[in-house]
Amino acid sequence: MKFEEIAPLPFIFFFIFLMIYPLILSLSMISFKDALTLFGDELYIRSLKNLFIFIGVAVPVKLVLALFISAILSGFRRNPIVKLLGVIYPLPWAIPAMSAALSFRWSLNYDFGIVNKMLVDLGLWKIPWLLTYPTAMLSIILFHVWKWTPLWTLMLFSARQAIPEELYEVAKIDGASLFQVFKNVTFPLIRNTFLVCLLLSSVWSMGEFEAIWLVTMGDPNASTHTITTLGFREIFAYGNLGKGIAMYFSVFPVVVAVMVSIIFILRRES
Amino acid sequence: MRKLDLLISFIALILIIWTLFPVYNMIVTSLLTYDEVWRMPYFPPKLFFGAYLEVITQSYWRLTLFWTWLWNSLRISFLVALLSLMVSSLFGYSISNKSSLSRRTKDILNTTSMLAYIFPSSLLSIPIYVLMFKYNLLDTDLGLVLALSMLTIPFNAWMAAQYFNEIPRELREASAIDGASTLTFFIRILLPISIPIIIALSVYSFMFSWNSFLYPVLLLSHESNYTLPLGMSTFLGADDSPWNIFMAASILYALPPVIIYYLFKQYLVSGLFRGAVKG
Repeated sequence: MKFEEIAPLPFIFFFIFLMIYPLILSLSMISFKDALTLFGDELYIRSLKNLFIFIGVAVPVKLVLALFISAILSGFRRNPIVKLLGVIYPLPWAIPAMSAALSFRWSLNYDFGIVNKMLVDLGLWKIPWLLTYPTAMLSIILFHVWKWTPLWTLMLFSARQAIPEELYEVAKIDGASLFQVFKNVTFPLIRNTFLVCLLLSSVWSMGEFEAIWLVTMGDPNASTHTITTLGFREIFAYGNLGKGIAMYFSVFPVVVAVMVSIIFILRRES
Repeated sequence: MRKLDLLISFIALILIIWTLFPVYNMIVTSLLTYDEVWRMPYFPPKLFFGAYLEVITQSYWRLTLFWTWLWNSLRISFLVALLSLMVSSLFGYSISNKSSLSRRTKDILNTTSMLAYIFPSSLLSIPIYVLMFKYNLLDTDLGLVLALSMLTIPFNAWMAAQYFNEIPRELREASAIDGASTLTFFIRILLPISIPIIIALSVYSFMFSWNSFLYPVLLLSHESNYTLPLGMSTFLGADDSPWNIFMAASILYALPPVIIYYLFKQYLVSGLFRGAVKG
C-alpha cells in the first residue's frame, strides 16, 4: 500500500470506532418504552422549551454581537481603545468554562455577589440571579454569550479581512453611509460565512452542556435543564441509561437537518 | 467623524469591561482573606496571597490532590495534543491537493471530517461513555485521550489541509524528481516547513483538552485520576465556602491556557483565518 492510501486510515479508524460505533451501540440501548415515557415527562417537555429559549436568545445575541465587534475591529483599527479590545476580546474563549462559571456564580450570588452589591450601590434593587427561573435562564445565557461570542467574532473578523480594501474606498468616494456600506458591500460578501456561523452556532448550542451545568446545575428546582443536562442527570443521578440516551437522541433529527444544511452550503461554495 | 470615533471608543470600552468583569471578580476575590470575602469589597484592601498559598500547599480540604489533578490535566492534554497532531496531519495531508488520491475519495473524506466536526460534542458524550464502559476503558488515560482526540481531530485536519494546500506545488514536483517517495516528502519536507501549523494544532488541542469538563466527568471516577476541573467541581453548589480559595484555584487553572493563547496567538489566528476564508 502506498503512503497516500495509509495516511487517512487513522482518522477513519477514529471516525468508525469512536463516533459511528458508539452512536449505534447506544441507540440500540433505547427501548420503545423509554422513548414513550419521554412524552409524558413534564421535566423533559420543560427542558425542550428551555432549549428553544436558550437557542432563540443566545444564538442571535452572540452573532449580532460578533458581527458588531468584528465590524469595529476591522473598521476602526487606529482607535486605541478598539485596539485594546482586539487584544482582550478572545480572553473568554481561552479561559476554561469551569473557572469562568465559578466566577459568574460567585458574582451573581444573591447576598454576597459583586453584581448585586453594585446594583444596591447604584440605588437599584438586588436581583435573585440564580434563585428564580427567568433570572437563572438569563444567567445561563449571559455566561454562554460571554464565553462564545469571541469565537464567532474571530470567524466573522477573518471573513471581513478577505474583502478587498478597494471596495471600501470606492464606496467612500460614492459617499455611501456606514449602514449602506455594510448593507451593500460587507454583508453580501460575508453572507455565506455568516450563514454557516449561524447554523454552526445553533447546532453547537443545542449541545451546550457546560453553561447550564456549571452555572445553575439545572436549578432552581430543576427548572433550567436542557436536553443534555437532563439526560446527564437521568443517567448519573437516577441510573436510567435507556431514558437518558433517548433524551439525547430525541434532538438528533434537528441536529442532523442543520448539519446537512451546513455541509450543503459549504460544498456549494467550494 | 470625530463624534463617531468617540461613540465607538465608548462602546469598545463597555465591551472590554464586559469581557474582563468575571476575570476582575476572580482576581479581586482571590486576594481577599476569608472574612473579607463576605464583605465583597470592589478592591482588595491589601494584597493577601493566603488563598493561593492554601491552594498550592494543598492545605484546603477540597484541594488536597491539587498537584495530582494538575499533573493529570497536563498529561492528558499533552497526550491528546500529540495523538491528535499525528492523526490530523496525516489526514489533512490526504485531503489536501498534495496527495494523489482521487477527487472523489478526497470529497468523501472531507465530508466525513466535516460531519465529525459539526456534530455537537456533548451529544457524543454518552455514546462514548457507553463504549468505554463496554471496553473497560473507564477511568483510564487511554479512554479519555481517545475521546478527546476524536473531538479535536476533524478541525485540526481541516486546518492542516488548508495549510498544505498553500504550500507551492513545485516543492512536491522537485522532490519527486529527486526520487523522494511520498513518505519521505511528507516527513523530510512537508512537516519541517509546517512548524507554524503544527504549533497551532498542538495549542488548539491542548487548550481544548485542558478546558474540557464534560468528558472527564463522564469517563473518570477515582479522585486520584481526576483532571483539575473535575476536582474543582466540588466547589459548585457550595455557597457557604471560602470563595477566595475557589477563585485562586480558578485563576491558577485558567492561567496556562491564557498564557499559551497569548504566546501563540499569531499561529492560532492565522490558522483559523485560513479556515474561515474558505468556510
